[in-house]
Amino acid sequence: MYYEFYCPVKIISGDNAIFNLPNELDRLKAKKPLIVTDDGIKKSGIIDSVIKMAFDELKKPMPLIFSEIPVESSTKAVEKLLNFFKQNGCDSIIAVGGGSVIDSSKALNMLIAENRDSLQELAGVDIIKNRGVPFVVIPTTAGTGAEVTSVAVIFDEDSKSKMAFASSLLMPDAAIIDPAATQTLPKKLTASSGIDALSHAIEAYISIQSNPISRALAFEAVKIIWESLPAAVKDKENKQARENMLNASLIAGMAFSNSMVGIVHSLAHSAGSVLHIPHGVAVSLFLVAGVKENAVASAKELSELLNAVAYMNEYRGTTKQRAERFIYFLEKFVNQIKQEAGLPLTLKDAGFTKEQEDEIIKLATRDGSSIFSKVALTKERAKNMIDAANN
Amino acid sequence: MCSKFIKKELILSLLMFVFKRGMVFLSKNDTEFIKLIKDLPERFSFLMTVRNTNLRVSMKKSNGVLIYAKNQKEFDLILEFSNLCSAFLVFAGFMPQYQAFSEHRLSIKGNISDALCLTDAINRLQAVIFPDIISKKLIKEFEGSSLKEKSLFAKFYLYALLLLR
Ligand SMILES: [Fe+2]
Repeated sequence: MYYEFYCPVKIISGDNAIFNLPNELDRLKAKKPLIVTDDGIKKSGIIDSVIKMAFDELKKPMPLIFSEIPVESSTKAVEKLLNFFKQNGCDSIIAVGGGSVIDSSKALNMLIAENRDSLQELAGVDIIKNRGVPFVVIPTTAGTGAEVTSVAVIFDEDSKSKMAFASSLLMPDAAIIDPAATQTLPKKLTASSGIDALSHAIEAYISIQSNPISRALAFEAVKIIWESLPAAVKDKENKQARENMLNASLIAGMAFSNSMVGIVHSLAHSAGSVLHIPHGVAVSLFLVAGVKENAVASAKELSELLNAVAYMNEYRGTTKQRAERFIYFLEKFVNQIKQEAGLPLTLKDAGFTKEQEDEIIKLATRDGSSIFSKVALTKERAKNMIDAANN
Repeated sequence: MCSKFIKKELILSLLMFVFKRGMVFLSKNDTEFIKLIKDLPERFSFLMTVRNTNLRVSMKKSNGVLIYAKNQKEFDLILEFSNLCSAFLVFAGFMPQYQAFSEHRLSIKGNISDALCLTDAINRLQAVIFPDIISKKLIKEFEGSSLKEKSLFAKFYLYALLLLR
């Protein structure tokens, strides 16, 4: 079997890890960093309290802050960000936020590296050729794994469509994982991004590009999520559970950045853009349906995952039986999390109407995620998944 | 299959020639194929190359059909094989395109959904020119009846295979 695995990101993880931020910037020879974030994070106080303290302690100046990243990262926001970065003579990036902030920061770094003003010509796989400036990420949600992935998605306001970028040069230099950064995360977001991370792990595990390293990572991620997501959703004061979820999301990110996701994400991407629902919510609606479509083709892999989620006495049975058992546990787990957090239980709850079905199917079958799925995403299969997500 | 005794470059240029001819022919005559390339924008152009060689296939969509794009410099989509062996495996029908992509043997520059469209079209071409026993292995699952109905193109493939021995 032939495979490649790549993850050059230094990981600094644990309670108070943020206090290492100034040291990391020194290591990367960053003199004038810019903090990129959104309004919600800025108001939450993570930056003004924890990060500021880290710089104050060492009597270093607090970096400049750009907090105008929208909920969905867009070309306009990135252009504004680039201007701000240039005007202030910054030389490095600290992204503090979720998927949108991290993707915008990756996009900024791409523009700097390629010395361009607009992103359009850089869309696609492996287009960029140069390394950007020193880049540190502090994730404030536990789900996207964007701190270790080589992809970014930006909404193009001109063509009204999403542009995807993929290159190993997009990966940050360091990721700082600190439970203080997810303290103010609302219950719904903890739950939906946690299920997103779970789907990254499961889809990476059953992908045609899965390999021994990514499977080891994905297996561990599933195990941690099973143990910690319910506790993190129930009680946001549970720091240990939040730290575990940040780790799981990062580990799943490493796995799927090297093994890719599959048909769950194809449907989640298309339904997300048609129904205008957040990515994690869309994933939570299609995860079980997508795994069920893989029950036969990936029976071996799914039966292995049973070992990550169940007690020893559940391990017996044929491969097929164990795969089915895993899917049974998965469905129960996802429903419990959705109910606990008040997430939509069916597509209808998320505002889906029958007229949108064709559009969702069309976009899903043209989504790149399905390339790496063992089963093909035919129109019939996409329809099956929509029907299943509606029940 | 990718042994050093095979003159890969020579065979590849022949296979690529068959590929080009096949794409043009199907875009005019095969209803299944025409349906598949319908979503590609008019004037859409693509290039298939093998790194560090002069082997290349360049085509574009013009008036709804595919034509050669010999003098084109810029392309909407570039598919580059990592080496002769990788290109040989795919063009000779020993490895599915998706597998080549997943093993980093094939890199894609450009819009992924256009690449998926083109992949479906190439799958259709392979279903036509290769015997069932081969094309079934190259394609995950086919929508509808695309695998049925064959044409005389199978001859080209057999011709190329004979040259391997
Ligand atoms: Fe995701």
